[in-house]
Amino acid sequence: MEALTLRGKQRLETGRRIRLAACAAFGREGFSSVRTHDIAIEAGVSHGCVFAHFKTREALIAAVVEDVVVRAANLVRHELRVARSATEVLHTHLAALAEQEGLYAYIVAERRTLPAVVQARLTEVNSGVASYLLEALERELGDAPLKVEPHFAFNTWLALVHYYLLNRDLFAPGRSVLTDRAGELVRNYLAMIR
Amino acid sequence: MTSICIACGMPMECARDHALGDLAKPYCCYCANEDGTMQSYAEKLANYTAWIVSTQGLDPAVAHRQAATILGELPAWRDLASSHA
Repeated sequence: MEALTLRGKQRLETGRRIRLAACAAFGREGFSSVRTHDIAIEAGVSHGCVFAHFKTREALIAAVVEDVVVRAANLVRHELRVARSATEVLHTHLAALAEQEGLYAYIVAERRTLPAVVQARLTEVNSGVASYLLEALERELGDAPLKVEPHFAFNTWLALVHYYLLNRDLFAPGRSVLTDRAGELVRNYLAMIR
Repeated sequence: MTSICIACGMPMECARDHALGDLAKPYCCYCANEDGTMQSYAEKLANYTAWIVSTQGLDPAVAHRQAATILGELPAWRDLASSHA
């Protein structure tokens, strides 16, 4: 029984190492460029071992992206459980994405190649952030209307974030663009829509 | 202790998050009807789709597919989702 437990622990630890290695590799080079062979080397396991834990390359990608997206969703949800201002909602969103900024940039750039469940999860998380933002704006604006339709207000925010993210080499070379430019993004975005 | 709503995946951190404030109910207040019963799959799918459309403006058919995919991952709907997708 004890041996089984130990084996189970080792299996979990190996799976964790593979996920971490994959997360780092995808974050550096994107999903399409990284081979499972490279991930195996980075994790210090055999190539076959990767497939013993994840049946397909797609399953590994789904697991890694799911980790990142769910973690970001949980961070946002945890921070925003009590009513916050629109400014706080947006800063919280940026901080959550900045935790895995490189990987998130590739998720945005290669979204259409990702498994359907991952794409759906991303949509779910974005709608969650949109709800927090729109509720905060409604509280702050009272009867005054937004300058644009609600979904367009959120999509404009995402468009800005994604533009800076995909061109982060121009805006914050070698640094986190979502951290560096957070104040500028939030301030100017809110001035545009309110 | 935090549990996850079987119908929408929302973490339920306190009694208030559970349907009717009842910790024994494995689904959240947003997935419950007024009488505390759990919404049906069809209702949940329609609500989830409408939520995605209203917050992001996605094409309704795309939003419907994505909502079905999300619900299909949850314990309450795993078996049902494939037949409704």
